[in-house]
Amino acid sequence: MSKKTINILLLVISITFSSCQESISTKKEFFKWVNNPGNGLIKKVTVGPLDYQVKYLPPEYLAFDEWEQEQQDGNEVSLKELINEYNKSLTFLFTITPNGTGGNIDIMKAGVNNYEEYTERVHEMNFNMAEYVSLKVDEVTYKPVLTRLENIYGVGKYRNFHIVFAPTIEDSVTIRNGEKFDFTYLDQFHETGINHFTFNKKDIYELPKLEFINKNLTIATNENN
Amino acid sequence: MLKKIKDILIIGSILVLGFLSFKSKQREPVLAYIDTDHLLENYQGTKEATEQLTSKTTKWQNHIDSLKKVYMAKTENFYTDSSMLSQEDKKAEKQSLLQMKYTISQMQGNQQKSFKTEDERLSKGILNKIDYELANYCVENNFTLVLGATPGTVLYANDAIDITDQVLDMLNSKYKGE
Repeated sequence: MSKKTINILLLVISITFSSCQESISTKKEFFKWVNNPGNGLIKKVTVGPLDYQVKYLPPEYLAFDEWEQEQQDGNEVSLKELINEYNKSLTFLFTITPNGTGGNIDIMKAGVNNYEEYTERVHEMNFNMAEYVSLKVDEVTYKPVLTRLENIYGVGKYRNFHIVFAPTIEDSVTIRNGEKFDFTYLDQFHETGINHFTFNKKDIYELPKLEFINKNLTIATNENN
Repeated sequence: MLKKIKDILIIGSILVLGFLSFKSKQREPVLAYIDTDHLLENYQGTKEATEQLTSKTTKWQNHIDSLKKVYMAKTENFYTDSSMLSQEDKKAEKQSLLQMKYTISQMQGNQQKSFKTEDERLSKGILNKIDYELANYCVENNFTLVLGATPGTVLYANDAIDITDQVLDMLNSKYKGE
């Protein structure tokens, strides 16, 4: 077999494989897929005793979760509309966790010297995180429209922040064309400075085929007809 | 006699084997040095922190400069128009100018303090990151001792043990957070 034929064969094989989009049939599988760092939706940085993790939450992930919750509560909501709504924004889950190397201290209290400093940190983390977080796509920097500190009622030493960026319609074109999504966190609390979490556009927009969502969308369309 | 020699040989070879195995377990120390000035200057984290600090300082300075301009204009007007003002108005205007001068100088002081705090915070962040990544790098690459050198502190060092560029590449690639 000539070298040329082998090359053509390899090309055909690689095209065939790349065109086979992975498909996911359940919500559980999808959540597992999102949580697999190999799929590029989770980025981690460790500095000394703290682990920083940023997870991109796809619109389908958020919409389906909310839709299921509404269904359980007996509310009629359209899954399609929820997906469309979440498609207008980019949501990230930002987590700060002590990794045990500096003692298992609560991140709210690490490095705090007195009660005044503690209350200041609580206030900043609750109401001012937008000051310290940004998203840069193709040299354009966006500030979040919403940051929310999840209340964990003292159950753990970590903290979760939901960070939402809502670009305007003009911005969304830039974002769609951007190759890299640079989530930046300027740490004001634990002396780790500027932290970058860089996502690839491909990972953010090329999700597997979500059969369980498509199935529910088809059912809804049939019911409407 | 032959048995004695045999015994000595056996004991001797056991001792030699023991010594060799002991020697093989002892690792040669691996030494290296890093040009810390070059490292800090070319580390992406330092560059970004400097840019951020400069941009903030420029913003603060512009704000102060605009206030100073207003103050200067007001002072000039006061001296031009003072002959037309009553004693009471003159006193009030003078008081207002003094108050403005005081506010500007207080703002300047606060901004200098904020700059210092921000500078310290960013510098600590950079050093903590470098310390953490460097420690991991040295363990992974089996270094026994790594010296941080600045020009003049090392009298002689072979280029072969200069790991500045390797460390810099490692730090910059980690900094991107990809």
